[in-house]
Amino acid sequence: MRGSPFDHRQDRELGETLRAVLSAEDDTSFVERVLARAGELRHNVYGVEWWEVLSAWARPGLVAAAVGLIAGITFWFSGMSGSTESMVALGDPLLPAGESGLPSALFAASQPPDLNEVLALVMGN
Amino acid sequence: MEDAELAALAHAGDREAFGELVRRFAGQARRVARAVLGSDADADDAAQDAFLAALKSLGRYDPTRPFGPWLMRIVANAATDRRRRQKVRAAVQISPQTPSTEARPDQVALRLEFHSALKTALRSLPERRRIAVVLFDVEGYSHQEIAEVLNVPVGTVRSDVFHARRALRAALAQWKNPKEEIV
Repeated sequence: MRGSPFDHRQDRELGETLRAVLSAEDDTSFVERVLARAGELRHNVYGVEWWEVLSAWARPGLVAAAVGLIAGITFWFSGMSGSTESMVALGDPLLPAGESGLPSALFAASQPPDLNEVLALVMGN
Repeated sequence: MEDAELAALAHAGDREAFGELVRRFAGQARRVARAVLGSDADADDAAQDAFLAALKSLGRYDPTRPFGPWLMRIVANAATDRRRRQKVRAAVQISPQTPSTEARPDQVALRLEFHSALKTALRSLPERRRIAVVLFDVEGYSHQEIAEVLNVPVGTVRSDVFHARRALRAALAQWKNPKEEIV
């Protein structure tokens, strides 16, 4: 080592000593490791092509569409099966059991009711 | 092929060009990272982070300037950031190469102890001085280039190298005789 630390040239002896201390044994495996990682990050590093963006969105999009379809079908069928029950449930608390409030003839008849009969019922006759 | 040409090719997506750059600067980057970080594994992680960060930032590299100082600045930043995070975690770890108090007469043991003492002396220096002395005396960078790496005035680099050399020489004085045989 040179005597003066003010020396503006490289201190070869100190440099070689530090190099021996700091150098890693195997640069090759390190290089392979970095390149492998760079390959993994290729999309982030070099950017992504438009078809890769679309393909990336395709799978979650299909899943979301399938989930929405299943939810819609479920809602549709549950609405159909529950519609009768809800109508009955609204009417029942207001009327005595067994009465619908309208003459059974209006529902039992196969033909439409006579207009005079309906008016008579409405006017209380 | 020049570093700048490789950098341009790597920026355009040439993986071979990037591989060549990594091969050229792997040793240098790892040494600088090791000068900053206590653990060799952490140093390699920092060096790897630096190469990947450099790859992402190649568009900002000025090809009219040397590639080495540009890359070493990224390496130094990556190592410093990692060291800062370690400080935050406050994880105190004892290096497996801590100098042993037992006397070991064989050359291998002596060399390990010598290297350990030099590492200890290096780590006792402020971070910037470590990087400065390694870049100057080990990697052969000029004061001006190191000033660009560290983002400090050239005079500060000269001062850092001076103080680092003085501390290292003082610390290694006691190893003078064994060192001549084992390095």
